[in-house]
Amino acid sequence: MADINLLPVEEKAQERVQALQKKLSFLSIAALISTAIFTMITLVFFTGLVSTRNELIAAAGDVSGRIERQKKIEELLVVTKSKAAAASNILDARVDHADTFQKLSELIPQNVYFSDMKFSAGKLVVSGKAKTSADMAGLVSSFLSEKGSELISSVTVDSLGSDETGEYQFSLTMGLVK
Amino acid sequence: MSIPTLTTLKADSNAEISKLAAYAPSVGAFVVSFAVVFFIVWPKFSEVLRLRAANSELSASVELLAKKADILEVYAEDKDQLEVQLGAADQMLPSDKGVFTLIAQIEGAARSSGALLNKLDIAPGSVNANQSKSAGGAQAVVTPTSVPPVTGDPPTIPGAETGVGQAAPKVQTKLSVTSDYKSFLQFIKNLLSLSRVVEVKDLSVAAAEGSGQVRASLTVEAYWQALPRELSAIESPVETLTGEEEEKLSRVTDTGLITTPTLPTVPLGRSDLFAPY
Repeated sequence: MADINLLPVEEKAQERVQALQKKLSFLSIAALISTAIFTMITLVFFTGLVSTRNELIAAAGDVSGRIERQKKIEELLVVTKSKAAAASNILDARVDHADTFQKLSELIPQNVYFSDMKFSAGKLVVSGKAKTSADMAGLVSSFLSEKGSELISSVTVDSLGSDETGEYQFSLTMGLVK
Repeated sequence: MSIPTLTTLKADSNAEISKLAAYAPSVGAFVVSFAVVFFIVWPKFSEVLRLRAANSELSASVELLAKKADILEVYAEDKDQLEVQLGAADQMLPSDKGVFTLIAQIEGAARSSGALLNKLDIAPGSVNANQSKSAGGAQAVVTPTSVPPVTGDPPTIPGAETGVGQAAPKVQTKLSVTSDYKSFLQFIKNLLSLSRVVEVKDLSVAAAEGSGQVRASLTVEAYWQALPRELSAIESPVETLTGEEEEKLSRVTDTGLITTPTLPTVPLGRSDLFAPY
């Protein structure tokens, strides 16, 4: 009677094992199929990219050949561009002294003259004489006017004095607009 | 009644082996899958990623090269114009210091304006091409009539200063001129109108009492740029001339100053090196 009672337990164990076997088989087949699919996809991508790379290398070779044939033109262009760019930068930044003198001649009162001018490092130092104090004032206000500010950024009176004739000798330092 | 133990054990072990054998295909499949993924798929996948990045770079590089080739082919269609522009650019920034050409241009500017060139000091150093420093070397003083400078500052030949055109080296020349005011202005305009790019620095002007004349001392910085020894790599891009640059080059072209000013030839040879002429 004890033997008969054991049979259902053994059967149940057998059933569990068979179920496990089925699951494992299912999973192993799924793993194999996934691996195969992933391998195919990877190989397809790889082949495509290799083909693209070969095309790009061929295209690079063609374009390099075109550039090699225009080597002389490239030399001319590189030298011309280099010199033209450097020259253009210098010309744009240099001070046009002729223009500065023209503007000063428009700003200076008629009874004022300069005896000495010195341009240095963006500054202008002038010495000169004015007939009267009004002319002197006119000179300074002219430099400080709207027209004057196109040329001059600041005015410093270094010295100012009159002599027995009533003329005023002056020395000014002015900052020039860049 | 007892069953013999050995037979029971044999039967049990056979059953166990049968059980394990039933799992073998599944386990083998897992092992094969893992091996394929680890030894084949994963390295190939890494290579795919690497190839993708490399192709992307290569594609960008090809595009840049194609643009460069297009630009060069456009300029090749009008090669004559490019050569004229090169001539103009070489006038603006000569390929060597061009010391004596510069002196000839300054003398020409003074002569045509009516200004008297009292003194000209220049110390260019080596006059070979591809020398970028302007300082050093013996002084070459050209003094038709020696006149002291207008200001109290002692004449100096400064070293290589960094100016506006830091990329272009320069030759510095100190001048002293005497003229009336109008001629002086014309001289300055002539200097700034030279085909060669020059800058006027440290200008000092003083009136000579009672004579109506002015005396001026100034430094003229004349720029130059040596030719490159070799071209950059093929991958380096080319820049085209901007409208502003072409306009400046055309100004030189229009004045007909493409040809380099020539210096007159002089007779050579004398028996006594020290006898004055």
